[in-house]
Amino acid sequence: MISRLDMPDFGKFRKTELALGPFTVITGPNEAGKTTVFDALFDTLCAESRHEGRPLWKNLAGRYTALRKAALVWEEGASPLAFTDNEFIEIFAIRGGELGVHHPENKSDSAWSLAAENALLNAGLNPAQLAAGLTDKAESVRKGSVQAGIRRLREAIKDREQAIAALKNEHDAIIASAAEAERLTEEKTQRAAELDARNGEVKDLTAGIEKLSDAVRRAVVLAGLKALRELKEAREAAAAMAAFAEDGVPGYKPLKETQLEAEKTAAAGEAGLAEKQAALAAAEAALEQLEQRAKTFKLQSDLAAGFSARVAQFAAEPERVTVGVDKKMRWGIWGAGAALAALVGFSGGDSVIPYVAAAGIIAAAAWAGIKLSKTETLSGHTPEEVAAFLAGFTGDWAAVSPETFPTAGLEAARAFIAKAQAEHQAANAACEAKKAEILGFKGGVTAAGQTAAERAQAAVEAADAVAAWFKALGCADEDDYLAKAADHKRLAARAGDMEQRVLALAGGLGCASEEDFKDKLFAENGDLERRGVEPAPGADAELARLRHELTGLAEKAHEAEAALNKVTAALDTARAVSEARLGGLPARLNQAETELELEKAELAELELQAKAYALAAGAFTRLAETSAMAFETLGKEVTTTLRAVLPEVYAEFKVFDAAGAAVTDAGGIKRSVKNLSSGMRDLFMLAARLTIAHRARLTPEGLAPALLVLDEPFYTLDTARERAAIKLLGNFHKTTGWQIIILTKDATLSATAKTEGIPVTDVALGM
Amino acid sequence: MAKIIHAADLHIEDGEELSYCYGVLDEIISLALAEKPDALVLAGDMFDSFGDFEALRSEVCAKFKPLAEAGVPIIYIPGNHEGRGATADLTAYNLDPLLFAAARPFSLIEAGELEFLCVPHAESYDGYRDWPVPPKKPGATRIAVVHALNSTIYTGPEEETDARAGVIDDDLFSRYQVDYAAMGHVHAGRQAALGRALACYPGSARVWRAHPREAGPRRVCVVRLGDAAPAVRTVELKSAGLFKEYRLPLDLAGALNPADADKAAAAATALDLVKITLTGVVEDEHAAKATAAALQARLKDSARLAIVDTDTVVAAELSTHSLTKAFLEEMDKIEPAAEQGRDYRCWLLARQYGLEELAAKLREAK
Repeated sequence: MISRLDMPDFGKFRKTELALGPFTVITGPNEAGKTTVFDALFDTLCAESRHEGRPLWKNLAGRYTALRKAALVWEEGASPLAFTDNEFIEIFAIRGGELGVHHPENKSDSAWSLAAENALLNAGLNPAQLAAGLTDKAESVRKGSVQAGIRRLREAIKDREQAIAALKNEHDAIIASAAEAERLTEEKTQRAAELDARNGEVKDLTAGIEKLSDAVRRAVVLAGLKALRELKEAREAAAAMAAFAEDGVPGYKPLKETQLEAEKTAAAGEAGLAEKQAALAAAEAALEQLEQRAKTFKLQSDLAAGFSARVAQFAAEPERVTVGVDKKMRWGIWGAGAALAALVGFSGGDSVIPYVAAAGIIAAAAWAGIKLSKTETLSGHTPEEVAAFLAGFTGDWAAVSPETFPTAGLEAARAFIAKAQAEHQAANAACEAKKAEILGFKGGVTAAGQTAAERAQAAVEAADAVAAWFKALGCADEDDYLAKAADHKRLAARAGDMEQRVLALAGGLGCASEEDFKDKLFAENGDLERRGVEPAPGADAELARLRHELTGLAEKAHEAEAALNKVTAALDTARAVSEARLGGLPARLNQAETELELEKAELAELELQAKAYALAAGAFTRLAETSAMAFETLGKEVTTTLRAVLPEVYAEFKVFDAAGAAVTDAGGIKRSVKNLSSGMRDLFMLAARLTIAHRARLTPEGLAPALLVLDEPFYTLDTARERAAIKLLGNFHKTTGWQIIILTKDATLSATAKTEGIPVTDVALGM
Repeated sequence: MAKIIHAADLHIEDGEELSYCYGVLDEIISLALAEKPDALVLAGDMFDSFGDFEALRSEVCAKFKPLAEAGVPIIYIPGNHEGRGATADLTAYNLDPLLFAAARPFSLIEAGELEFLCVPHAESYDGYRDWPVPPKKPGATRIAVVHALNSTIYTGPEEETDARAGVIDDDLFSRYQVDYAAMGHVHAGRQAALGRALACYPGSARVWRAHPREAGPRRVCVVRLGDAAPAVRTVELKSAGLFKEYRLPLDLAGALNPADADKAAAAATALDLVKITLTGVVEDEHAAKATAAALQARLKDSARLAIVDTDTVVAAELSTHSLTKAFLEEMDKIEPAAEQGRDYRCWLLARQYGLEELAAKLREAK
C-alpha cells in the first residue's frame, strides 16, 4: 500500500506530500490538481516501463516538464508494486464516462485489449490473435510479405519463361536457318542449272533464227536478182519485137479491103454462073419430065382416038347427035392451060423462053377449050345401053391411066376422051417450049462462066498484094501479125511491170536507182554466198514462228533468272541469320533456365512457408476455440459482480473489448454495452473492469497484490447508481484488500462511501 | 552390336577421400573387366583438380592397365575440374594406357565400328558448326563424349556455384550424326533424347559433396549400341555409398528426440555422407550447438563423413508460457508420419513460425 505520495516538484505541486490510506478519496474542484496527482501516480508506478517515445509518456512530457519529481512511500513491510504503462492505464486505472474501454490517450498498438489478454489468458497471450498474426503472414500481400514474394516470383517466372521462349526462338531460328541455307544452296544450284539450260535454248534458237534470217535474206536477194534478170529479159524480148511497136493496120487495111472486094466480086460471078447452070439443069430436068408425061398422054390420046371413033359409030347408029357446049369443061381446060402457062412462065427466070412457052400453052388451051367443050347428045340409046357400051372401054383405059373412065353418059365419055387428047397436045407443046428455053439457058451459062473466071483472077492478084505486105514484116498472115503485135504489147507491159517491181524492191532497200539496187544486191549476195548461206525461200512463216517461240523461251529464261535471284536472296538472308554466331546463346539460355529453376525453387519455398504459416495459424485457431471458455467465465464473473447492485442482469463477453460485451436486463432484453444508457454503461464497465483487474492478478498461487486508481468514476451516475457503484467498489476493496484511490470533484462521494461503511481516508486538494 | 560402359565425374581427390575414391574406381574397373565392353568412356572430371591430376595420374593409369591389357580401350576426356589451376596444357600429357582425348575442339577416335567424337570441356562451344568433323562412316555408330551442360537434358541449380561449365547445343548432336552422347558434369543422373541421339548423364560416380543433387545411388551406364536405338542399363556403384540428408527438430531446450538421432545413426553406412540440419526455436543456442556436436561425434563412427548443422531461432523464456506448451501439443497432433517429405518440412516450419510468433508476442507484452 502506498502510504504517501511525495511531489517535490511535479506540475503545479511543490514540496507536496499526500498521505494515502487503503481507501482514499481525493477531492478537489476543477484545476485543483486531480489529474496531476493521477499523472504522478502513473509516472511513479510505471517508471520501469517508462519510454519517452510512447504516446502515454509523450503526453506526460507535453503536460509537464521533462523534470518531473514524484515519489511513492510504501507502507512499511509491504513490497512496492510496479506496473507496465499499458497494464496500469488499461486495467488498474479506471475512468468514468468513457464509451470505450481504452484509455483515450493510449493510442499505441498495445491497447486495453492486448493488456487484458496478456493479463488474462494463456499467461498473457491470445491464441486467436496469434492465429490472426500468422494468417496475416500467410495471406497478406503487403510489401515484404510471403504472398508479395510469391506474386513477385510468379511474375518473375512468367517474365523469365517469356525471355527463355524468346531465346529459344532465336536459337531455333539460327539452327533452322542453317538447315534452310543448306537446302537453299542446293536449290540455287538447281535454279542456276535451269537458267543455264534456258539461256542455252535461247542462244540456240537465236542462232537458228539468225541462220534462217540469213537464208531468208539470201532468198530475198536472189529474188531481187531474179527480178532484175527477168526485167532485162523482158526488156530484150520487147526490144526484139520493136517492129511491132507501131500499128501496121493502116498500112495493110486498104490492100485487104481491095482483096475482099475482089473476092466478093469473084464470088458473085461464081454464084451467077452456078445459078445459070442450075436453071439449065432444072430446065433439062423439066423437059425430061415433060417428055415423060407427053409419052403417057400420047398412049391415052391414041386410045381416046380409038374410043372416039367407036363412040361416033355408036352414036351414029340411029340416033342424032345434039351438039352443045360444056361450059364447065371449057373453063376447066382454059384454067388448066392458064395454070400450066403460069408454071412454065415463072419457072423461066430472066429468060424469055418460058414466057413464049406459056403463051403457046395458053393458045393451045384456048383452042382445046373451045373445041372440046362442044357436047353431042345421043338419042335413041337408053342410058343402060350407053353405060354398057362405055363399060367396054374401062378395062383398056385402066391399063394406061389411073383415072377411071366415066360410064355415066356419052357426053361425059366424049369429054373425057377429048380431055385426054388435049392433054397430049398440051404436053407436046410444053416439051417444045421447054426445048426452046433450054437453048436460051445454055447461052447464058457460057457468058456467066467467062465473067466468073475474070473476076477470080482479079481476086488472086489482090490476095497476093496483101500477102506480100505481111511477108515483108516476116508474118505468115494477118493473124500472125496481130498475134506478134499483141505479144509485143504484152512484153512491153511485162517489162514495165518488172521495172515497177524492181523499183519497189530497190526503194525498200533504200536504193535510189536500179543500178544502186543491182550493186547492192550483188554485193550482199556475194557476202551471203561467201558465208555459205543457202537460200530458204518461203521461210518467213517459219521465221515468225521461231521468233514467237524465242519470245516464249526468253520469258521462261527470265522467269528462271527471277527464281534464281529469289533463292539467292533467301539464301543470303538464311546465311546471314545462321552465320550470326550462336554467340553464347546456348549458355545464356542455360543460364536463364537455371535461374528459372532457382526462382521456381524459391517460389516453392515461399509457398511452403505460406502453407506453414497457415498450418501454425490453424494450431492457434484451435487453441483460441478452447479459450472461448475463458470469456464465458469472465462473463459469469461480471454478472455476479453486477448482480450485487443490479439483480437479474446478465453480462457476457465475446472478445476483450467493450464492443463485444452485452447486458441482458431484468426484462430479458439484451443490449450491447454501447447501446446502454450512460449510467448503466458506466456501472457495467466498472463491474467489468473490477473483474478484469481481479483476474489480471489471479495466479495459481492466489490473488497477487495490486491497487486501483479511479479518476472521476461516477460523474455520469445518479445518486442511487452512485451508491450502488460505491457499494461495488467497497465490496471489491474488502474482497481483494487492494488499495483504492479515487479522484473526484464530488464532495459528497466520501460521505456516501462512509455511509456504506467504508473506512475512507480523505484528501482535499485546495485551489 | 557393341557395348560401352559410360562413367563420369569421379572427382578423385588426394587426401582423406582418396581411398574412398580409389574404391569406386576399382569397382568401375572390375565392372569393366566383367562386362568386357568395347570401350570404357570416362566423360570428364575424373580428377577433382589439376593438382590431383598431376599427383595421382600415374597411380590411376596403373590401375587401368589390366583393363587395357584385356583389350578394352579407355577413352577419357578432360572435364572442367582437370583444368582447374592448370599450369600446363593438358594435351601435353600422355596417360597411357588411357586414350586421353584432350585435343580441342574435338578429336575422333575410331574403335572398330564405333566412332568416338571426343569434345573436352570448354567454356563455350559456339564455333561447333565450323568444326571439320568428317561424316559418319556407313554402318558405324557414333558416340559423342562430352563434358558440358545441356538445356534439354538438365536445367537447374548447378553443383558448382563458383564456375559454370560450357553449354552445348542440341544441334551439335544432330549435326554430327551422334547416336549416343556420353555426357559428364551433371551429378544427378539424367537421360533424354537430343535430336536423334540418346544422351545420358550417368551422374557422379561418387558422392562428391553434401548437396541434394548427389542424392540417390551413384551409377555408371552400360550402353548397348548397334542397329537398334541405344539401350541403357545403369549399374549402381556399391562402393560409392549414398548422400543422406535429414532435417530434425530440436525442442525448446535444444534437445533432439533420441529416436530421431538413433534412426539417422542406424541408417548410415561406412560409405555414406550424412548431413543433418537441426532446426527449431530454442531457448538456448549453446544447448543446440552441444546437441549438434554430440550427434556429429556419434555419426563419425557410423558414416564416412558426417556434417551436422543447426538452423535454429533463439527465443528466451518461451517454454515457461502455458500457450507454448499448448501449441506444441497441438502441433504434435498433426506431425506427418514421414520425416523426409515436403509435408514434414512444412510441419517443421509451421512449428518454428508458431514459436517465433509466440516469442514475438511475449516480447511485445513485456
